[in-house]
Amino acid sequence: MARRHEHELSRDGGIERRLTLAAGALCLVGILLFVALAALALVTFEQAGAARTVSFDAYIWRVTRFTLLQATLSTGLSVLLAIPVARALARQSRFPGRVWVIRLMALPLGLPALVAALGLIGIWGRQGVLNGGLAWLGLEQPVSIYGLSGILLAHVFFNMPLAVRLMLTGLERIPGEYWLVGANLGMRSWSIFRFVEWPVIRGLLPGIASLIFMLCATSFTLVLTLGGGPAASTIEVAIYQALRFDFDPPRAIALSLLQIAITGLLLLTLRRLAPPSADGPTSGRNVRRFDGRVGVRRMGDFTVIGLAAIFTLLPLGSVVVSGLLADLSGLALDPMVQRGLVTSLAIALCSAVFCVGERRR
Amino acid sequence: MPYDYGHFAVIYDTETIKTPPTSLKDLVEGDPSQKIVIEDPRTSTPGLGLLLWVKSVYGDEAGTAWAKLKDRVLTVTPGWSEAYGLFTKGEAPMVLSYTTSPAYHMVAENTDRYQAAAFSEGHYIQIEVAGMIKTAKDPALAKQFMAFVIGSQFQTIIPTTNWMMPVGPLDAPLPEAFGKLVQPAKTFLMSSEDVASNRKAWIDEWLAAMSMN
Repeated sequence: MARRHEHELSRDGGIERRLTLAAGALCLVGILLFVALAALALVTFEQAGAARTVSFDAYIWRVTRFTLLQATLSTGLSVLLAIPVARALARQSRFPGRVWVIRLMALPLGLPALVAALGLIGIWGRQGVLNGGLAWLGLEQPVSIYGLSGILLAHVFFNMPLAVRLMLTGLERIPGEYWLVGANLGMRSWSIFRFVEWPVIRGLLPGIASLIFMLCATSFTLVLTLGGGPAASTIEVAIYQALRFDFDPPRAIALSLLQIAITGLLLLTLRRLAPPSADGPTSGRNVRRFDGRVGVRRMGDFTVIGLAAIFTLLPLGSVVVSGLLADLSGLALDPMVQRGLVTSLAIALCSAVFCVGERRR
Repeated sequence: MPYDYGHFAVIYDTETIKTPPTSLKDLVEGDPSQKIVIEDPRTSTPGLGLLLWVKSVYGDEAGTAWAKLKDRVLTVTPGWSEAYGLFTKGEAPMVLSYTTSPAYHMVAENTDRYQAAAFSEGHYIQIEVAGMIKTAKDPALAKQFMAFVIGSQFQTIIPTTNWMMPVGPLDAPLPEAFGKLVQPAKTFLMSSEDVASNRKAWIDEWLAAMSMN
């Protein structure tokens, strides 16, 4: 009886799954058509007689190499630095202001690249807080962030908090039994990481790393502004260049395809390397952590959390300060700004509804 | 149809630079610790403007000039806003902008801290144009709008909003600040055919010079 029941359940599950797949495929086809039509419009716009071949010259090769280099390093750094922060936040599940630290981690992604760049420069730039401090200490300055280091700094600022949030969600879903067993076995921090936390993080890594890699590979303003010169150019710059002055849509599309191919390849590779792990069964008991109670461990955790929070908060603070120095109230009353705000909100709301709508089932 | 124009110029901060460069040559060969922020010719018009400016002055020697200027360049931004933002934040004491930029600071912020450096070789000009597309749905309306664009009402608004020079008669005289601006001794302008046929090669030359270590 029990067995039959189970069988029926799985059959129902099968139908449901097929329906979901069909709906998903339909949506995918729709999205692809939409994108393809837009691309087609660009291609057909080209003036007649200007038949050009898209050549992958030395220039493209160079920007591709740089794109890969900076995106790989940015992703690696963001993810590596996020692991200790996410662990510390998961371990210290109750402290005043915890929710604000987590909210803070959502902020950088919402900033326009130019504003974030200026915020970062307010802290790390030649006239920034860091160099001011060094000067005060009588040390050699300025420390210049322009170059690959500036690009990496900006990308870590944008993406490390994102990675922390995504990892933290995963860590907080670890069933309470695991912690109970871990505590009973007297597991130490390293064992807990090795046997409990790492499997979860590893499962999340392909998704998080792919997302961050995509964000970094398509980065444009940050890379150029902080890169110090044209040696730091991404494929995205070449795409913009092809459309802006050359108006050469086939080249722009070819470059976009190259960018998609690279990112797609990376996505597949990451999937292969680390398949997502399944959630273990749980009785749904309250999650209580038994580790991270000792003074030293607590202090270590709070140092990590504090450093991450300061790293994220300072450039944001610098943006706020320059905003307050500017005529903010005058700006808020400006009808143009108000109209822009309404447009932004409307677009964001519609996009959010479209993106999330599909998941509601 | 042109509707406004402006000359490119190096804007400097009088609080940090006491002796501004007096020529492009001065800029290229000056103290590399005094930095300038420029725009990328691949993505912005001021960037392309400087490229053509250097080409007009240096000709075949442009590549060498860029290789020298490179040490003075703090960073190359995708557009004017990023460059000017870095400049007003104090990251660099010089920026590539327009001769009209000081007028903005004088009129809107009441300060003459930021000034344009007059270059003895002359300045390259940017002329902004409006046009009607062949497939315009309502050509009569488009023509009417074009007439409005060069009309005195529109032209009076341009100088203090777009911070460029007007091309037609004005309803009211220009603000006093515009009288204090640098008047280029000579104006450079290449034909659009020249630019179109050489731009790619010149940008490659720029990329090669600026990407060297």
